[in-house]
Amino acid sequence: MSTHKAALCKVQILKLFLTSARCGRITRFHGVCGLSTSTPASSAKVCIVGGGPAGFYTAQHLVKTRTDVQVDIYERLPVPFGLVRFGVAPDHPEVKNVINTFTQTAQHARCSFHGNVRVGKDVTVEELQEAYHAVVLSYGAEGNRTMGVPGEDLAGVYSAKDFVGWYNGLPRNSELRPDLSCETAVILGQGNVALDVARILLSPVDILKKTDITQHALDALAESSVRRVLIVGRRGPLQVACTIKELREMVNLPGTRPEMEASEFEGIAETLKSLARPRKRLTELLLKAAIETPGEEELERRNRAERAWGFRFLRKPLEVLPSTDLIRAAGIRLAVNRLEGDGEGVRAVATGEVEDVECGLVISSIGYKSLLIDPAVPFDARKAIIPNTMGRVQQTAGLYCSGWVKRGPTGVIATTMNDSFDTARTLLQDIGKGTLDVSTVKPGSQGVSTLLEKRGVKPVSFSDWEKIDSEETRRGEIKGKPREKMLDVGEMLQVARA
Amino acid sequence: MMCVWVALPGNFGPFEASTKCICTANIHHKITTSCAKGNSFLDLVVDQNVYIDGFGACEGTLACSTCHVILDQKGYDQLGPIIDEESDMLDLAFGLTDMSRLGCQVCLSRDLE
Repeated sequence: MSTHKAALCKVQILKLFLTSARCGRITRFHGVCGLSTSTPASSAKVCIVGGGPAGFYTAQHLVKTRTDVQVDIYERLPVPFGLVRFGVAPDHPEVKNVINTFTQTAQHARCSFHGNVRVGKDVTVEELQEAYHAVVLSYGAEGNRTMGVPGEDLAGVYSAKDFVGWYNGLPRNSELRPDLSCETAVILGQGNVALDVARILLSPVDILKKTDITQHALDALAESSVRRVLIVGRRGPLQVACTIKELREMVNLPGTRPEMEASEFEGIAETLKSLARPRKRLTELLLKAAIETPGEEELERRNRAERAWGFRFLRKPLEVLPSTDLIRAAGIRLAVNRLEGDGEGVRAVATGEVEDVECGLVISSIGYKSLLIDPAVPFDARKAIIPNTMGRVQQTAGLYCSGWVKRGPTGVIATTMNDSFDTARTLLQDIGKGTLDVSTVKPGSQGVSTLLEKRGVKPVSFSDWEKIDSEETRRGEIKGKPREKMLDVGEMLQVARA
Repeated sequence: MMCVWVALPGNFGPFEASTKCICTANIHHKITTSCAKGNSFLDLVVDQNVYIDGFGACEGTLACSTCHVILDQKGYDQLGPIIDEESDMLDLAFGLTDMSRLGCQVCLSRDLE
């Protein structure tokens, strides 16, 4: 064995031990250069575009299932984790525990993270396909559905995506500066994101100040005049898209009371016995909050509460009404619907009636939306997903997809996890059957590094990210927060390179 | 000794595009555990290094449903009462049954048979 090869093995052994120590687990391995983590030149090289949950879970399944697969994750931002960092609400830190699993994956000997690389701009998908045996697109949904109504561009109107990005420190939303000087906020949409926004708007600042919410959002919320939040949906109580955990958090939110119209719940109680367990429990809780007469203690609590929230049903936005100076939102005009059909086929139909609601803040939470990042990638503009069959991109050998860009922007992290495992299985099947040819030698990250260097792009490695991570944690500690997120990509890069 | 089934979605083969496949293609792994006092089933899986892809994503904090387990009647009846927060997350679990619990809340003790 040459000295070089021995040195190589030694480095790999060391890395394995370090990884194990960090996880607190002792991993047994056999032989020296026969390590399961060694990467022979003929190993399959897979590239993943997007460093969020889909990307990491796809990578995890690939490296854990086969010992001859090398996975490189490319991410636009210098920081990894996508919506786990920028989407999950600050007061849901337990949901972010998945970061520990992602960290293990990134530190795996056969996986590497390359941040600050914009696929579609710094390197094309075609170039990635040249360098790798397979490319998996897991870049999620950066856009959002628009209401498509007049007045949507007025000051005071925001997409939930941008509002959430603002309080979660997404660099492109750092200058949002939402105006919180009004009394009433109207949120369109009744999914978990809508409830997250409502909860953050109404949570006592004393609770928020201990989370990783950005400082500028915390300061703005401390000065906020918003006292009433309406969560408006096109259809009825049985169609709310949120889940019970989030609804229960609203019901139990300190300093707030529910305010809803009993008339909007007519006939609902009668349907309970025919509902499946999850919908039944959700509807029961909704009815309890909306129309049940509270006990003495709860009544007192509600009377003391200074903030209110409520669902409004069968309402669809027609227009955002401007203030007298025509600059900002002063109200919203809603069409009144009725429901037709039943079961899964229930749909909202306009009645012709219209209702105006006075408000100064309008947040549309009607869905995220995937965008096309490279013209070489097939894209279904109507569904806003990459057309695929079980994760294999249609009409393009060697190209796969996972997560929201594959299925559409719904579901919790576990949904994306299972979906990513499915794509990984499909890819591995293709290797096994030979439909994905991994016999040729591909340059992998070496090839891409050469291109990036020529273009003046310097990727951020996972250990570079760890410097950013340490600094954010240090800044947070001073304030009693888990971290204080950096809002500027330039600053992130500075710390990464230090 | 308690018998616990880990309920996971998963497809090990092709499925029709029209089928909501995760409802029909679930795989049950039978894991026999010996009683470890005070630990939850999730603790046991972690401590014994049993690798189950995606199990226990939120690390036992009632923020997901990936540690979903199914017990037999005897096992189920021996467990403590279920709180709302566990039921809320269980509602989202794949392949939910009447004998389902979250593995991070299944506490194993010497008294269990």
